[in-house]
Amino acid sequence: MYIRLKFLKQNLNHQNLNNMKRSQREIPELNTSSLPDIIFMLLFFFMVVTVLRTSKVNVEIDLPSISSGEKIKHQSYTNYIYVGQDRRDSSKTVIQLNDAFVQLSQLERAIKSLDSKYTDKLSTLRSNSLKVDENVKMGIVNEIKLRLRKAESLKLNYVINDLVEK
Amino acid sequence: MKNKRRLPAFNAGAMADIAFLLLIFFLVATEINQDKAVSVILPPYSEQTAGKKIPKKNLLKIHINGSNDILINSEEVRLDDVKNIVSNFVANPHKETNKPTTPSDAVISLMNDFNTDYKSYILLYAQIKAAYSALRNDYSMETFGVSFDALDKEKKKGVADVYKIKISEAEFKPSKSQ
Repeated sequence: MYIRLKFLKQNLNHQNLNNMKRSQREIPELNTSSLPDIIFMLLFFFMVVTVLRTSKVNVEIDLPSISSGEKIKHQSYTNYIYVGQDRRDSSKTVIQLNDAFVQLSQLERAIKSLDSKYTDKLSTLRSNSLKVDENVKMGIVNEIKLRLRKAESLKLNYVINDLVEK
Repeated sequence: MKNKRRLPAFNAGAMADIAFLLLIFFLVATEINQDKAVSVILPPYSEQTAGKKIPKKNLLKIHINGSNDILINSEEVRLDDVKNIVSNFVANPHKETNKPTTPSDAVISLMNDFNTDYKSYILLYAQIKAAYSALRNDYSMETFGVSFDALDKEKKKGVADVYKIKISEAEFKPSKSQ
């Protein structure tokens, strides 16, 4: 009888010990080694989607609002031409090509030299995007169009403010 | 024996930080919403101004003057009516003799003045393009049963050729009287 009790006690003790062990077991460390992979995937998505903007616009522009616009194809291959009032001197209407002001007389040469940087295959994707303030007179726009034709840069996008999207 | 010592495990925890940094940069730099535009293809420049003569019945003269009034064949019209007038002229549904026999014959002459506002001009231009895209859409619905945008590239070109946009813009020359 005594022996049996002792055995039971021992058994109980043993169980207690077992329980103690279980509660003190450490949680395994979270394996974060695949985290960079996920982040890199997101990174690559944004890298591919990004169109880097380099130019600072020094021209005040309110685009005209229209309900029907098309997306500009190959947006990274387009020259931006801004026409509007000078930010620093609102009495003057100025033309900015990408990141610098140009005079009308220099426009043809400037466009030509920009286009000549591209190989034949890429040059077919080239276009010019005009961002013109809605109050600018057509006289200056016509002059720009004439210069673009002379520079043989014939694809032109009049950038507008799409009413449908906003 | 020394060579066989195990290298400590490479700690890739900082890799996520680097990737995050790059990710945040591109997140900030990304422009998801693309610009929308009215796209045109300019005619190549040539010294000679006189081109082919266009029969009078194929020509629709639209003039937007310095005070932003729209004149079609010398009659003043409202901007909202332009779309209908253009599509009626191009498609010529009643086979009138003073209008083009086939839609691709139609030429729209668009003139503006030195003082025309850019806004009025671009609204007018968009109306003309809208007239053509509505015609193309109708044609595509009739022949293929789907909208123009849903067509494949070749069919699209075919439909676009039927309703070919021909907009001639006279150059503004202050010296010459127009």
